[in-house]
Amino acid sequence: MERLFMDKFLIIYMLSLLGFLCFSLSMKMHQKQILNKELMVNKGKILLGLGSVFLLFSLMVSIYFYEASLGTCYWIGVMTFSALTLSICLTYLPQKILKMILCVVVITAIFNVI
Amino acid sequence: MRVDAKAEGIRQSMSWLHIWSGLILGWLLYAIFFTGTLSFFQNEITIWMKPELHQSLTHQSQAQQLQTGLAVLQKQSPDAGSWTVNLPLPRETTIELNVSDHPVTLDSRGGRGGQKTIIDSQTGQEIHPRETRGGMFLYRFHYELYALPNWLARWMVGIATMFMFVAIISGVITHKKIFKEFFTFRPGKGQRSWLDAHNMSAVLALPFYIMITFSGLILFMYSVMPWGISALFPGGRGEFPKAFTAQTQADGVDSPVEKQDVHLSQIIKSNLGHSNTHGHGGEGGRSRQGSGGRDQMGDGDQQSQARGQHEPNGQDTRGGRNDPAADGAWQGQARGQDDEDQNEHGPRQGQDARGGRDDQDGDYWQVQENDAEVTVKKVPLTNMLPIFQYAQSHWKNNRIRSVIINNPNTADSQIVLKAAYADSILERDRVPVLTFNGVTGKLISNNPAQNISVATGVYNTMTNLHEARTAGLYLRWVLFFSGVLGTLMIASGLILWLNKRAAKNSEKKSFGYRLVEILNIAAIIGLPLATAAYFYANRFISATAENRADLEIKTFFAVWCLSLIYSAVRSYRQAWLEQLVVASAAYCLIPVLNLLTGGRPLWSSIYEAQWVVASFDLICLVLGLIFIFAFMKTLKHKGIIRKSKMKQIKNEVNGEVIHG
Repeated sequence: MERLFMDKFLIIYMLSLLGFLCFSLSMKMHQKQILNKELMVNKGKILLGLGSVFLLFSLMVSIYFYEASLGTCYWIGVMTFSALTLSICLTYLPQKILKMILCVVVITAIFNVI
Repeated sequence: MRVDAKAEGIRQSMSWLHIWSGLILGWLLYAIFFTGTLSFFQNEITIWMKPELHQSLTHQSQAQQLQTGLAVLQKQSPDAGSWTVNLPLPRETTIELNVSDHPVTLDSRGGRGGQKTIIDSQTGQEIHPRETRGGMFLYRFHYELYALPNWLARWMVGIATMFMFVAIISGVITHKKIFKEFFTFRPGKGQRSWLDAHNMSAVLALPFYIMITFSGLILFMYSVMPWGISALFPGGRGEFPKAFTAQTQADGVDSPVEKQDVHLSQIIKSNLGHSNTHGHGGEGGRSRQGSGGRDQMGDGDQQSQARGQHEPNGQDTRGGRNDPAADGAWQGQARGQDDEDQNEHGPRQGQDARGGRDDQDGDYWQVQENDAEVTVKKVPLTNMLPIFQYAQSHWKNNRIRSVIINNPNTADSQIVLKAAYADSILERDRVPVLTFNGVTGKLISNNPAQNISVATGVYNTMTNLHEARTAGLYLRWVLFFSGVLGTLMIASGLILWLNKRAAKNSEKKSFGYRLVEILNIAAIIGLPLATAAYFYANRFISATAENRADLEIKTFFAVWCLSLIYSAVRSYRQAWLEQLVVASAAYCLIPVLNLLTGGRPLWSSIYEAQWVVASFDLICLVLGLIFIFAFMKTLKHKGIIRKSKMKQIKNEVNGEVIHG
């Protein structure tokens, strides 16, 4: 039961984390923090779109797991924590943020494969 | 209008509104948020505060737990009007039994009012936990406060909630860079950092704050906006929920749809007739109601029709699966299993019942009903296992919450199985229910899905989320952490008010400034201290002491008052540091206290997967560590640079520039 809960949570959390990462990378201030350079305006717009797709996908996954009403509420709650995680990482570990998110992706994959 | 008589922009006026609506009721809001957040886990708090319940472990299957409960009931009260067995959910440790003289109806909420017994889930041994208000005290405090008349407390909390709602909306308007600074936190920059912390905690959980305040207001609507309801229902406010329930039932597919709908329409019609002198308006109101009713009834009719077509054939209206109960095959299987069970598990429940009744009049006994003696034939209960398995397979991810047996051991016996959670967050006070014949085991009814109107859906969703009803453990944790963020948001806002005015008050503190300082400490750290004292009192006051529940609550308020007095007599910084030390120690030592005073130790609760107890200890440990972190930060904090000192530095810098 707990394992299933972690599976579902991690998938929704990971997808929304990727969504917010794309959002932050679309902002000049955070581009400098994470990549040490500014991206082209077009790339920023693509990242914004990609972020929206990730968030939408995490919503769909949440609804698939928990049905529409509960899934939407859960998705909003999980988004709070993925955004908070990203904010804390951007504040204290901006250079390692990509590695950390990669870790989250790997952990989610391991949890779901096992 | 500004002090300098210049015109104010919308952002400036909203900023003013945000600051003062947040400050004036900030301390009350903090207390409401803090206790409300803890209330998401009021079960865990109550169980921790009753260490007698920790002995009960829930490793068994639900079927085994039911067997344990039924064995006790058969032995203790075989002739009762009804039995209710509440099986432990993941957030509980024990089985709760309820015996009543009368059959329980579904409306009577699972056998309340009978004789309650708590038993160990494994052994069936009766447990007598200590008297305490537990988490219920914190839960009720967050909306009723304490020792105040109910109406007054609800008005106070209602007004505070409205102020919070105003502060949220005005805060969003005031926030200049809500998207640009979405992920921004700049630590170590004094006021800037506090503003970032306030903004970040506010923006990230904004949907939660809007939901929790709006739903709080909806929950208070009977208290703070009673006039509309009073005008429409002259017989009293009690009529409104009845009509509301009637409407909800009419929205469903149960057969008395038309009757219920007419009932509501008639009530409103007759009340409008009495109170509304504007015939046209009244007519309009009626026609809208009627129309809505017809629409809903139409759906209901369709579903009723569908049900009517399916039921005689024994087909499940929900999943479209064949209903094993209806075609008789399952019944045979049930009996077969019954016989097998007899061999595997020893005597059946029915045989137990017979054994329990041997001292009576053979296979019959007489009961008094309406002054007439009625002879009731003793009939053993059917085997519960197939019924149980059917419910489990039918509800899939849902769990069985309670089993109600009306008229047990008689020919009229009926078994009602209630699920733990509603099918959707749109439903309130309505969980899936299966009713079986208690003798044959045949499925009698399966409460069908209801049509829910938009208004009812909004009300149900909002209030369910506020109270974390129908929420599984995962959503409960999400709500809890959002509540923690909300508590931090209010605390950071209160501290920010002081920080903004610190330079101005650096030489001589104004009365208002000092008052806010004292109240801030007493609220932000005083309340967690008082809560810790409440937990400690629970374990230090003798379990058999009289009025011990009141003593626990008195300890809570005594420590809170002490914190206030201490904050007033000590300097701001010292009061913070000293109370943080006490709070850190108090929360870090909670697992030790639990171990030494009869509770299940942390390692054992983790090993036995008794997360309901382990999570309390762990959260207290985390809270203790957060207080240690806050203490270290406060200790390192050098304070606000005084205004004169700042001037001096500025002059020095200017001088250097000029001379340079």
